[in-house]
Amino acid sequence: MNTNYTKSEEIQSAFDHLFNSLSEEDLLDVDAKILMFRFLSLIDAKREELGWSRKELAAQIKTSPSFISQLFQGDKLINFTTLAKIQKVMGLEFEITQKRTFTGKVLPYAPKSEGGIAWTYKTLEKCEKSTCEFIPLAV
Amino acid sequence: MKRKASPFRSSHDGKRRIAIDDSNYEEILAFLKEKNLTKKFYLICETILQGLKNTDLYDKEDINGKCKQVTAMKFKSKQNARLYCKEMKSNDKVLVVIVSELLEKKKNQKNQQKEISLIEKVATYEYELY
Repeated sequence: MNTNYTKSEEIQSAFDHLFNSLSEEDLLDVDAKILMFRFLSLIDAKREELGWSRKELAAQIKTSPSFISQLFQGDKLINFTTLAKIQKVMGLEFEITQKRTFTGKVLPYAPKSEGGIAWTYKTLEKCEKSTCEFIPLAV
Repeated sequence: MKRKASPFRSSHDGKRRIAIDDSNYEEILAFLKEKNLTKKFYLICETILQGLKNTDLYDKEDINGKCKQVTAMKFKSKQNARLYCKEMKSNDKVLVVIVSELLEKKKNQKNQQKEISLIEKVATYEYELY
């Protein structure tokens, strides 16, 4: 059991070391490609829906099929002009949203009793979108 | 006998994990370093962990009914190597992709006997996760 734990740790450490060897520039490039893949996965789904081959998609935007392959393989980055061309020929429209993550500090919160002995629980009032977009900071 | 696999990377939401076959990890690691494929490997891992579909980088290799859980990480542009993987669900319902076997060079577009044997071999692997 102890030997297995050591092997597992050894593997984790070897891969941490491998990935830590990537430069800041490499990591940014990977992030950029992941972002591109988000667009490409939607494009590919639409391509299938339209019954187009990749060759056909390439022809529609006047590029080569190998360029399309290089994009999907993560060997090249797409530019916004190409993205706009794809949008146009496929009748697609990308919508941009920002993922919200709560980064504020949440302090320990203890509810106050409204008097009497027992705690009372009330049903939440209907949530208005404007007041519920953020998790309130409990103070 | 069950083989052993160790996880080395997880998604932020904890729903996906990548692990490697304990017996083959040294060979695979040495290959990635030697062929300068670390960045591509990292890109493929991130693509999987973020749940993005990209069949040019990672796809099913379900060549027959026995191989339904076998997949491949593809390194097409440089070496045309493959890392054959097995997908399984852990007890805590996490999707685990286990990197199992290395094929240094895929020489034909269609799977030949060498690839078929390797895919079928991976299909028979049963894993114990650490």
